Amino acid sequence: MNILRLIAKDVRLQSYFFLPLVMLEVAGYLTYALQMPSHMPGVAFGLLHGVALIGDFLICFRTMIAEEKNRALMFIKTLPVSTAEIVVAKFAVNFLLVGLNTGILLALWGGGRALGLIEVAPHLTIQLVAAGLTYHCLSNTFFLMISLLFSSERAVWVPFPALFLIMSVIVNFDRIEIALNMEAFVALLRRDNQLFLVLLWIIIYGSVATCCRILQYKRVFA
Amino acid sequence: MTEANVAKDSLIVDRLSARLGDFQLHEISFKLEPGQVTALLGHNGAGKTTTLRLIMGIVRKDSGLVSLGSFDHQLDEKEFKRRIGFVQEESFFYSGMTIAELVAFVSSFYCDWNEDLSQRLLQMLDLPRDKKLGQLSKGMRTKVGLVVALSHQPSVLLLDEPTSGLDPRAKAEALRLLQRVAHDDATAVLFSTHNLHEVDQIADRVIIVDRGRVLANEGLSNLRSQNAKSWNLEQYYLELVS
Repeated sequence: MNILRLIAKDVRLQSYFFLPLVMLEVAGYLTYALQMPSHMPGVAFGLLHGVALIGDFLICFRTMIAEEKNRALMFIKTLPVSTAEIVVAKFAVNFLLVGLNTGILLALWGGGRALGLIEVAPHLTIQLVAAGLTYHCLSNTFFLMISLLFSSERAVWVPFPALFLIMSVIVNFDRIEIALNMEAFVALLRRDNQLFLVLLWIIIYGSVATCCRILQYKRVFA
Repeated sequence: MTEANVAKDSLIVDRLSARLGDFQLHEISFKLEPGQVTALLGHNGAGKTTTLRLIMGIVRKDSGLVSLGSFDHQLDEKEFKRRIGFVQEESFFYSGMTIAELVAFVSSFYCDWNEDLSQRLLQMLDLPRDKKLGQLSKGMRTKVGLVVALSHQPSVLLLDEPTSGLDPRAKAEALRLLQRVAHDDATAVLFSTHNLHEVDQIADRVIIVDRGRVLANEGLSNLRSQNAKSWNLEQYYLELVS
């Protein structure tokens, strides 16, 4: 119940921010599309997710970092609520808002395509929508983990090395695959996209559980 | 203030230690008795806020015990906090919420929330229910903090410099309220301050901390009766910390 109360509080507080965020994203997308129509066939769908990625970060910032700075998290910590409940509620409300944000953008995209306004994109399938939602929840998990485990002053330094690390893993993935003897497993994931999505959700779940565990031992909670 | 006074437990802090960067809190021990107002006195950086945050579990301890009755502050976190009211020094949060919305939000976490008491406190402290928190002065925010901390009738009330930034009238009101809560409701009240006048005015007991250590933990009436007529808290405090 405590988790639901915390989610309801965040949804109510963020409702004023959410609509301007979506409008800003749509405006940003359209501005680019109108300025560079010749580029759009190649980048349209990627641009949509790029815009939504900014939303992933801003949602994390509003629900987590802003609450740390204004001491709202400290206040929550003085209520009869466990650390795990606070963490799970934060992830849940972030996924809810990220899901809604991505869903609205994809719906606008699908609507635009149905009306013949966008001709350059892949058809929206359930699998594509599920992959999009998973990707944005994963990126939001990354932002949220950083903001939960580090204070906001230190957190700003974390994404860059982490990004370099992720890029290095991507660039060297073939070598890592061989070194760890994972060729068969990777081949299976490449064949079965659903299994790949399940694996990503296991990573998300593991991140939430790890945050809950580590925060039990963090010196200063907020 | 409340309809019925139930037996309340003492809060025991036993050899509580923590290191935070360069600052070390050294094995702090004290006991807060029901019905007593205790002042945690010390200058800036002495360890007052850290002590309160350690009790609430906002800062993690290295060693020591904090318990309220049979409830440990870490092992029985929720039960412990259900019995504690905490007012932090500065709060700028939820500026979009009205006072009524904040009270409704906080009340949902307490099964023993006294709605009638909450309404009376709002009225007594002149707090307009529909005003947004972002439009309140610091003093009014402290009053809101008091309402949400008191309305579940806690066994222990912890306050971090509750009168800092309050105008003289609000300060006097807040101090009177603390005294009433302790004496009428048998609540153990601990407030941190560096204002000696406030301690003299309402405290039954004083805990003096300096550089993370407890230098004194005495009943004020004892101190007054044991010492000469010329004794005063300021001199006593300055002798201890110098």
